[in-house]
Amino acid sequence: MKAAKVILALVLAASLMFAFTSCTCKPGDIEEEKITQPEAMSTPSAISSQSEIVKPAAVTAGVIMVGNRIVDIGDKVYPIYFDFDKSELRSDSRNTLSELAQWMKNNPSVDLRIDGHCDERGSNEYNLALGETRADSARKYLVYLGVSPDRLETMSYGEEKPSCSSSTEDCWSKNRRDDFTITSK
Amino acid sequence: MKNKIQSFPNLILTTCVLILFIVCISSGFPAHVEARVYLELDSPNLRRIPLAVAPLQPLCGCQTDEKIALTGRKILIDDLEFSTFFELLDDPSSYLEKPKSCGLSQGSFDFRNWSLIGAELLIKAGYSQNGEKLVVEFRLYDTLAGKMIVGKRYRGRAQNIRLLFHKFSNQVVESITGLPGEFTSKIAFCGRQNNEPAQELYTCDYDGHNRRQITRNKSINISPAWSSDANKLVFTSYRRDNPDLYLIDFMKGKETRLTERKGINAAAAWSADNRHLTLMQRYENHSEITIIKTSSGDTILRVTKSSANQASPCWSPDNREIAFVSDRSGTPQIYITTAQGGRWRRLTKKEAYNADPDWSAHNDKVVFTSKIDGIFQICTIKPDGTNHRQLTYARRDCETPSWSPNGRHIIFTEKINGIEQLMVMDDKGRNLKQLTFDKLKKKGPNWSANR
Repeated sequence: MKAAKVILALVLAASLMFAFTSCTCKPGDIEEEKITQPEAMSTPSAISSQSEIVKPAAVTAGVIMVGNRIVDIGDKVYPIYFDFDKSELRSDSRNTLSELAQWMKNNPSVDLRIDGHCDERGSNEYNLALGETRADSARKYLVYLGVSPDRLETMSYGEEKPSCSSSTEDCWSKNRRDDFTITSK
Repeated sequence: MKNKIQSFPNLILTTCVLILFIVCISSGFPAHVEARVYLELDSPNLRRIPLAVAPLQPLCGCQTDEKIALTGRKILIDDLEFSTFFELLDDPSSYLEKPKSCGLSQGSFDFRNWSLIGAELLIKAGYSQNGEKLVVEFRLYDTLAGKMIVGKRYRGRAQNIRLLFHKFSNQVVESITGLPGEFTSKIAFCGRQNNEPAQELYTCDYDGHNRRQITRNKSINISPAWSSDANKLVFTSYRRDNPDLYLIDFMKGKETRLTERKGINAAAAWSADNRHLTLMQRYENHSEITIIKTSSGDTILRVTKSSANQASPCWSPDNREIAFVSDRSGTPQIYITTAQGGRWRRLTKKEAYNADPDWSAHNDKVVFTSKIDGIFQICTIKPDGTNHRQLTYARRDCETPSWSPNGRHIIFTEKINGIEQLMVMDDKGRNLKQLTFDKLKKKGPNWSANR
C-alpha cells in the first residue's frame, strides 16, 4: 500500500456574485429580394428590433477544494485512483476508504462530498457518467463500512477538472480519481 | 463577479431578418421553369461544375470600393469551394471579359466570354454603399444556356458584409443541388485558456469567423446544443456547484436554468419542434437518458432503465428514436431505442469504445467516435448498422463530431500540437480543413441550422 502525504486544504469557497449585466444588441438588417428582371428595383423597408440580454443573479457559497488537495482529517486521506475506463475500487483505494470511514465515525458531525474525475481520453459526455460511477463506487464502499448514506453526496466532473494537465500516462493516472471534500461541520 | 452573455448581433440579426421582398415580375423565368438538374448528388460520377465569379462592380453611379469588392468576392469563392460542388475558376487574369464595359444584367455582357474559358456557371455581383448601408445584387448565370438561374438583392449593414454574401452562397448551392449550403450556420463550442479551471462557451460562423464568447461565469461550461431554429442554446454549467442545464434565448436575451435535479444534467439535444430535450440525468447514482420539457425543465420520461451508465443521447430525424451511449455490455457502445423507451438495439459492434453519436437529419447516417488502434477516430454508420465507415486516420484523438445542417460536412476536434482545434471535413472524410489555429483548447463543437 502506498502511503502518501496528505496536505490539508479546506478552502472556503468564495461566494460568487453574479451581477446583473445587460447589453443591447444591435440587429443587423439584411433584406433580401428576388431579382427577376434586369435591374428591377423595389423599395423594401427595414425592420429593426432590439433585444436585451440580462443575466439572472445567483449566489453560490460552500466549501471547496483546490486541485487534488484533500480534506484535513488528521493524516490520512488522499484522492483514490482508478484504472482507465474503470470504476472498480483498487485494493489501495479500499484501504484508504477504510481509514476515511473510521475517521468519519470519529467525527460524526462531518458530511462529505465525493467528486469523481476522469482523464482526458474518451468521450467527454461518457466520462461525465463514468465520473458519477467512480464517485458512487467510493460512496457505496463507505456505506458498506458503516457510514450513513445521509452524510455522503456525489458529483461528477468528468474530464473537466484535471489535477494534472499534460498528456502522459503519469498525468492521466493522477486524473482518474475521486476527490473528497468536507461539506459541513 | 461579473457574469454576462455577450451581445450577439449576428444571431439576432438573422432573425430580425426582415422582410423578404419577393418581387415576382414575370421575367427571365417562365412560370413553369424547365428545371435543369445541375448536380445529381447520388451520381457515382459527381463532378465539380466549373464556376467563375466575375470581379464585383459598383452598382450604377456608385463609387468603387476595392475593399468591399475583394472581401465579398473572397467570401463567395471560399463558401463555394467549401461546398465541394464547384471547380472555382477564380483567377481574374484568366477572364476574357473587360469588367468596366459590362454590366450585371443579361444582355449587358457576352456569355461566350465565359463559356470560352470553361465556366459553365457565372456569378455576377454589384454593390453600393451609402454610409452604414450596403446593397449587393447577385446573379447566378448558366453560361451554356445563356440564362439567369437566380438573382437576389440584399440590403444590410456594411458590418454584416459576411452574412450578406453567405446568404447568396446558400442560394447558389440550393439552386444547383436543391439544398442550401451551410454558410449562415454557427458553431458553438467550449474553450479553455491555458490550463485555467474555467471553460466558457463560444460561437463562431461556420468558417471560423466572428468568434464570440457567450458565457463569462468563470465556471465549467460544457455540451452546448443549438435549437433547431438556431435561436437558442442549451448547455451544462457547474456554476451553482451542480452540473445543471441552462438555456440561452438569444431572441429574448435571457438565460434560464432548466434543471435543478442533483447530479448530472448534461449532453442535451433538442427535438425537431424544440419542445423537448433529451439528456442524461442521474438516477440511482448512475446516468440515464431522459426527456424533459423545454418550457419547464420537467422530466416527462425516463427513456432508459438500466443499471449501467448512459450518455450522449440524440434524436433520429423523425424524433421517433434516440441514439445514445451505454456501457451495459461492459464498454461504451452506441444503442438505439424508441423515444418512448422500451425496445432497444445495439448499433456499434466493431471496436471496444464507441461514443458521441450525432444523427444527421439529411443523409440517414450516425457519426460517432471510435477508438481504433488506441486513437479516437471519426466514423459513420447507417442506423441499421450497415455501411460502417472510418472517416479519419489521424495520429491524435478526434472527438465530438457534429453534422452540418445539410448533412454534407462534419465538425469535430483534433488535438494538434497539444491544443484541441476545430476541424471540418465532408461526409466522406474528404476535404479536411483546420478551422482554428489559436491557443484556446476547444471542445464539444455543435453545428447550428442556417439562420
